[in-house]
Amino acid sequence: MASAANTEKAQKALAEEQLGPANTLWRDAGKRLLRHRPAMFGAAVLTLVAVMALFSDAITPYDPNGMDFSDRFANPSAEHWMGTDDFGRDIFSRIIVGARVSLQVGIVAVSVATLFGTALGLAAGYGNRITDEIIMRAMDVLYAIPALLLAIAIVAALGKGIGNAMIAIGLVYIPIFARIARAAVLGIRNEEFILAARALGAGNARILALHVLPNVLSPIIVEITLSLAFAILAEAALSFFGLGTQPPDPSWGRMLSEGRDFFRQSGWMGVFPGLAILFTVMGFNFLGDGLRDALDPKLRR
Amino acid sequence: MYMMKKIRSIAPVLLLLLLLLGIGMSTLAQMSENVLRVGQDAEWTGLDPHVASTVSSFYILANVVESLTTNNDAIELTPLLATEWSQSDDGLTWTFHLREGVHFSNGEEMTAEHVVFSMNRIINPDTGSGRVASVGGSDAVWEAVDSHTVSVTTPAPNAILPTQLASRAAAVVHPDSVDENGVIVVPIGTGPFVVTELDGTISMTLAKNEQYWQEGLPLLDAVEVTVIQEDAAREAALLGGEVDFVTSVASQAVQALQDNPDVQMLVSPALAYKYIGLNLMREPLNDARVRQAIAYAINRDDLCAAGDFGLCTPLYGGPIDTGSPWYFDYAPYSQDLDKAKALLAEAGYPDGFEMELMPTSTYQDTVRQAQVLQAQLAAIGIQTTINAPEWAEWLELEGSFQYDGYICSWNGLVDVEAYYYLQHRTDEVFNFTGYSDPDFDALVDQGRQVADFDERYAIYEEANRILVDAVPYVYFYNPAFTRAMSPNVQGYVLRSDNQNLYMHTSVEG
Amino acid sequence: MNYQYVVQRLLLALLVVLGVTFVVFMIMQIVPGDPARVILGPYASDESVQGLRERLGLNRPFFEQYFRWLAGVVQGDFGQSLLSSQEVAPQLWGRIGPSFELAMVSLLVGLAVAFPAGMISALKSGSAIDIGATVFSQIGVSVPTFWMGILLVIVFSLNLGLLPPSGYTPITEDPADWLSHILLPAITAGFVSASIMTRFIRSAMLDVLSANYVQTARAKGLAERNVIVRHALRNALINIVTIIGLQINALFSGLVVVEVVFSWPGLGRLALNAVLERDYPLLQGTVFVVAVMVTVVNLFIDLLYFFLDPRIEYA
Repeated sequence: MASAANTEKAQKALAEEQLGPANTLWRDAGKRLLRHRPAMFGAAVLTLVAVMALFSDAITPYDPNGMDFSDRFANPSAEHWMGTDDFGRDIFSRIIVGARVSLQVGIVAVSVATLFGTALGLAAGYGNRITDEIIMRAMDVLYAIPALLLAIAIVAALGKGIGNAMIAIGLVYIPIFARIARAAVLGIRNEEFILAARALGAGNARILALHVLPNVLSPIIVEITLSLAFAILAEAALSFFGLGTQPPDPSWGRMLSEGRDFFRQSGWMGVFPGLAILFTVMGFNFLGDGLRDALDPKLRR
Repeated sequence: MYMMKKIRSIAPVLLLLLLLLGIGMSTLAQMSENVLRVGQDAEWTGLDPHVASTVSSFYILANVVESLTTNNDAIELTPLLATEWSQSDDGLTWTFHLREGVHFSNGEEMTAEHVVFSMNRIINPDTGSGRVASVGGSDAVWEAVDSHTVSVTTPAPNAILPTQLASRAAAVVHPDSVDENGVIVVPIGTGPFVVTELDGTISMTLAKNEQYWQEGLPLLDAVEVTVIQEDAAREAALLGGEVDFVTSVASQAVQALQDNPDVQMLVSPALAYKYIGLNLMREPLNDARVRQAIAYAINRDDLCAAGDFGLCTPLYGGPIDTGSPWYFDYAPYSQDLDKAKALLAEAGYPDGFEMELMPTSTYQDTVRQAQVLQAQLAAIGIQTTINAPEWAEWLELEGSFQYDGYICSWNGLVDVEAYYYLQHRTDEVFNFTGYSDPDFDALVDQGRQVADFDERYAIYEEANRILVDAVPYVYFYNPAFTRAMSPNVQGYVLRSDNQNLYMHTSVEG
Repeated sequence: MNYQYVVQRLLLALLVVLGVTFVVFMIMQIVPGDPARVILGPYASDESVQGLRERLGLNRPFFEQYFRWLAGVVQGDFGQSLLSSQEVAPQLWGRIGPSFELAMVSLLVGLAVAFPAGMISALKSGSAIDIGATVFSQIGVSVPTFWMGILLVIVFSLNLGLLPPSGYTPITEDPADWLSHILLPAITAGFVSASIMTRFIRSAMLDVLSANYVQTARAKGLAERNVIVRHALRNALINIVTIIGLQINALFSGLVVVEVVFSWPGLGRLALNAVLERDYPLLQGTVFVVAVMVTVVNLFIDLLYFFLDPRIEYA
């Protein structure tokens, strides 16, 4: 009898293993996400930014690079909603166009970092000790170099331009994701459900994908939302050293960098790109929080 | 609840911090009176006068080392370590008589030997000095005639050697300055101050040289130099009393500081010019008509407004401003888009072409100028992209002709020759545009051998006309130099050659 | 076995530091730009550039340059700066103190803000306080460090005249003056990390609060305060240690900008200028020192895991 009961249990576990609790997990998560108000707010903001980025050419009221030296440092007005910059260019138009660059940088750089970082972190945390040491020491090497300097050096070596800037920023953040993923894996690798799955003969890749990954998602999602902000700002720093967006094309970060030279002439030059970044980042973060709460298996009630 | 308690428990700590803060502020007020505290805008890049090239290095060195000749505040040639000089009849040899009773800061008397040592160090290729041309060239022979007389012999007559020597880069240093690697970390000079308390490239003290030969000088006991790179922070340091003197302010801030009664704001026209250098080795910039079209297309007032916020004099012809004795009345390039388009069409580019502008992100004024140029050149169909590398990479690209047009400036040019010879003579060391014209070469060669002002003027007037028509450089404008200081700083003179001397400066109580 | 583990980690850490210096050296070889040209300026002839390259030893093969440098370091000789010709070592030693002080004070500022903010917003998840803390934490990460620094200078130095805008006084010389100088840069750097730490602490607390043992403790009828202190906080510690570790690295990185804005005589500023001027020996020395500091902190954190969380096995 006892063995029959055990067999039944095992079969049930196996069924769950094959069909996956994953389907229900994702469906439930979706429902919870829709109920999460900040997350929906975040999604709304991001949709707006995405629309700005996609249709920027149609929306801009002025040529974003059009100069007018008779109308520099103008304060916000009906004519120029966000004022004009040191060349008399319309800041509102530049913000709209800048959305494209900034979103691109954020998304590409963080994708690079997340994909490679998480994969390496999972491998390190779940693999044997030698794998762990090799991967993590390599990460330590990257991580022990101040990020800004490393990014400057990488872009300088790869060549200037926004594409290489994205790669450089992504590379710099790989170790962070690797560390977070690894730490999370170490925390759960000996939990019962993992041991059970292994006992049932599930392969490493399967265990990683179905059991480990969902459980390390929460810290990674938080890190993604944070890194998006950092990527956008890192682009600002790189632009400032002439290694990011090349003038005259605006990115929010570049506009901020330029604005600092004119802080006392016109604070607006920095305020609006700052606000644009703030809202976008906040959008990502609220969405991230929502996702985190929705995906967290422990929060299921 | 628990958290709130915790916050309450740190309140006394915060109070304590604030208290300490107050004490800190009050100690700031107590400062010695004979000391000038300087906020310098950039780090010095080495203090070897024979090798260093940056303005920030010479801000320091001008107070530590001296040269045979110099320019006074009105930028006229005057004696310094040499009291008088003469040229031989064949024009090949110059003889300099040295000042008696001049001592290095280590106590040793300066003699002809030291001069010969210093000049030979500049000429020696192992030194890697960029100033060989200003001490007679690599074939010049410097000799000590007696303890206080030196002579220099050059293969060809050089009428302007004393003028060329009037630079702290041609400094006379004591041989002990040079270490076993052939390097000067801190020079031992004859100047009014000595470098002490050197902390890397971010702070130092210039202490009074007790041996200094000029009676009663310097007035200060010491100058404390701190590097404050950020414009806003430097301005704040001056306004907040952290420093007494700053070596530059952002041009956009000048107006506000001029209106501030707690600040002395000095602005001087500069013996300098900003320009774009065009690569004559590349199509279609090798066609003079294309370059002229560019010169006609640009609006220099807008460039000046963008780069230096109106603190400048536009240049419609050559590089020299109307205020100079070397001004040449030839200024054809007022903005004229029709003419520019016609010239482009004539050259075979009626629809324009594409080119790259190369400013450097290290100097944001050049990036701003590039953006203005981009808009202005688009009006005649020239589509430009901007590549703004940081300084180190920029230098490499410029030095190896890998550019279409680079944006830069020349500073501290005094004699007329300095505006034309090294930049534009065929294959000369600073000719980075590839410009070459035998007529121009003949004129500037001749100009070196003539001492008479009127004769020289005629020669360079002709050279200037050839150059302006050929347009290897499109000149933008002469900028201005700035200094700001607190009202109690006295005796500082802002010079149009940007030489930064603290010798006559004092701080009143 | 514990000691064996520690020794092993130390050796690996040494390897990491070596790796860092090698990687940086390699990258700098690829990066365009020639220190000889930087020294001689825009108007340098090819002859003088070559002469100077020869004198500076830049014409030697890559590996020879690297191993010469390494051999020097082993003997405590970090070489001479290419630009200023000054010895690198004394410059490094002089910068470690100010950078370390700034990093620590910044971390304190960050923790002082983030800990209460993160805890409260986790405990009151979804409340107005939570949203307030979240918005606040966004501002910190949405504003570039240089912007924040300049804003603080303008408000606190220029407008209010409360704090000096730049400069440094050694703590041994005048502690009060030291404090008045360190506050603005520390707040600047600390604010950014406070934002990040707030989010991590909130997240870590939420995880722990929903964990079974905390639920069990609650079910047992323990007072909420005891639940939080005894169970939740202690178990959140491991995550928080990770965060501090991550933040120390980020802090050192952020210091580059802060030190430039506030003219702070630290390693970050030294390294930045060394990169921009291609001053290889100075850069190598700085990176070496920073790498040692970061590696030591990370090592310490790894060891903390080891002691904090018995589930982690290293056998």
